[in-house]
Amino acid sequence: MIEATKLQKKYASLRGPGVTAVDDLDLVVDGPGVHGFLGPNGSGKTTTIRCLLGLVRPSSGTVKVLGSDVGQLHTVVDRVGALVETPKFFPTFSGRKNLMMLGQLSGISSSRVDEVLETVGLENRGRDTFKSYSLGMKQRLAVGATLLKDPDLVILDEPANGLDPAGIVDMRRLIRRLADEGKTVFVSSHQLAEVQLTCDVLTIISRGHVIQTGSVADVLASVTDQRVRVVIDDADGAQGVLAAAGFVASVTGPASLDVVIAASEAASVTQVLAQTGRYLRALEPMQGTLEQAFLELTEGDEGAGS
Amino acid sequence: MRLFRTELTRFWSRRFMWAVTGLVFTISTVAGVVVFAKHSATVPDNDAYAIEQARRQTDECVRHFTESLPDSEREMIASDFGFDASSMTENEWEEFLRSEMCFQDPAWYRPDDPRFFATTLLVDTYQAYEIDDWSADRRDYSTANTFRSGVQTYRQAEDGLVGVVPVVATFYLVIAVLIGASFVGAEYKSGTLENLLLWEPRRVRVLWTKFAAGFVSSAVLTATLLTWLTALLYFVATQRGSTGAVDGRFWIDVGSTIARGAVIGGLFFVAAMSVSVVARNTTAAVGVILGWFAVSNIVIELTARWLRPWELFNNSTAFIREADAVRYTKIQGYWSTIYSHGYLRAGMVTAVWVAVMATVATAVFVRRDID
Repeated sequence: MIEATKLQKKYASLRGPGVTAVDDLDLVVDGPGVHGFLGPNGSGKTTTIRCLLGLVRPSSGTVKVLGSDVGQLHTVVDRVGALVETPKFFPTFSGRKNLMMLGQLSGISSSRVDEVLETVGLENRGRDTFKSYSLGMKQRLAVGATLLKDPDLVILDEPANGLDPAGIVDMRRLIRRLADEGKTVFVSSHQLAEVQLTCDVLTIISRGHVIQTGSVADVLASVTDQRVRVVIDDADGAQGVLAAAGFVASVTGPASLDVVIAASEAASVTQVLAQTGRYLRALEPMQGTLEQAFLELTEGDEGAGS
Repeated sequence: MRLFRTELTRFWSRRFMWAVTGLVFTISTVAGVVVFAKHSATVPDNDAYAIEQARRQTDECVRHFTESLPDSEREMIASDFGFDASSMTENEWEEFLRSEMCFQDPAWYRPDDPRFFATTLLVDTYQAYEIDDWSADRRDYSTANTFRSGVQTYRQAEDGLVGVVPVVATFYLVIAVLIGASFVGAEYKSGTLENLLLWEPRRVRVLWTKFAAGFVSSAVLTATLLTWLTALLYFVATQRGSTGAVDGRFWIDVGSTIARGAVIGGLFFVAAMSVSVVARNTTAAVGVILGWFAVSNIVIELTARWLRPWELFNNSTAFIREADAVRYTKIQGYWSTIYSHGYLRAGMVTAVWVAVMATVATAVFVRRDID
């Protein structure tokens, strides 16, 4: 669906050496499903998306969307729906008119426009001017615009921006529904919990290049599935025993401690403690969160791009 | 074609366009009402009025010099005119005053004709009432007259049409500039250009479709506004003046003037939009173009007189007015403006200017990052 190879984007500057927003980035998005695109502020997510959509000319590297080079994007553009950053519409036109004008470009009927307005919950506000919309409504209209063409590939850059909690849930459902319909959704977001709940595959970038990619489970495992929680009566004593045996362990409560070790090797913990007459009441692998993974992977990074 | 239709839809949906159009429409209408109010269909006996006024003034003057002038001054005045006052009888003195000293030409007292002449649409007010037959007289007031006979060692340029329609058409260029600059400037400001490129990524196609839709729409708008003004003033002429000189040829000239104004209106839309594409800002684009209008002739006069026949604004106005473009030359030691080329070539020069501007805008737009 999307393939970027050695993608680089440098911005020249008259007052300095310039900025490299995207640096040697390799990205493959297969479909169908939801592919999350994560990175700290300024890590190059939006610039990458702009390169994919032909809005920004890459300094080097190649980009293919639905098998077409950027120069041939027009051959597949009817199969791509995209929202980049903030919603952008004519402020004095109604939401419906804005969509009608976009739809006119692809011969989309007014009934389809109405259908999309209903999908994003704006059926009763379609005739109001765009400038009268709340931030969340603007965002929903922008998502509606991406759906007009009934695209195979949907690219959403921070789609939950400005949405209230109910709107975020609706957005999550919508994204999942699109994936379930066989579409590929490529979504960048800061809402890590949402991404964890919504995405099948993740790519995390930092400083303009990819630092981790894979299924959500794999990404979590690679970073956070490296410790077990031990429930035992004498946590302090157990911690001393384990430390003496070379384990990294920390007491988290009167009867619990965490040990840094892969879950697959947790039996050695049991063995060491049993040898000193200490018996576990429970031992469970700890499931990390995407937030932990994200922070660990991008720790200390301050991106240069946007 | 879909893109073209979309751009047409946007052009005719814009509030700014309607605000400007509404303002111009209102001003035109008010102007029509004022012209209606200031003119009268009643034609006074102008000659009798003028003769009576001249006689009154003469009588007043004669009375003044007869009653109050000392003899010494009477002789001095008479001698200035080659008469001898000492040998003149009172009747001869009065006759001298009436014919020489106090002579008043009735022509000086002929009042302005209170009627509004339809020919004012194409020629200036003072010429308009002299025209009895447009087809026969138009040669005296348009470019096709005798100055280009080649008798002189240089060819004097024609001023062309200076009536309401050509002059107002020149002012309407400002409308085309405002709408053209804001057409794409608003898209940059709102970010909708990005949206559009997500639906049609071929930028050359996007830009030139905008040019085409804007050209057509601006031309139609200019023609409509000029036609409205023409209709208003023609109506005034039928009610408060004269349409006696109007014939088929007159309407052809009015129509062709409106058509030329419309073409230039379309071209200036493209020119302003081109500057706006480069500047990414409506205000900057309007400033650049109107600034150029304001100072171009001064700059050319001071720095590059050779550029005068090829300057954008001069050629565009010459085309509208069916006038000649001029160049500078020294005649008897003084700089004068003389014929350079006719109005059709002036139109082509304008089109070349705009084409160059559009090409530069395209080159910039194709390479520019939209972010």
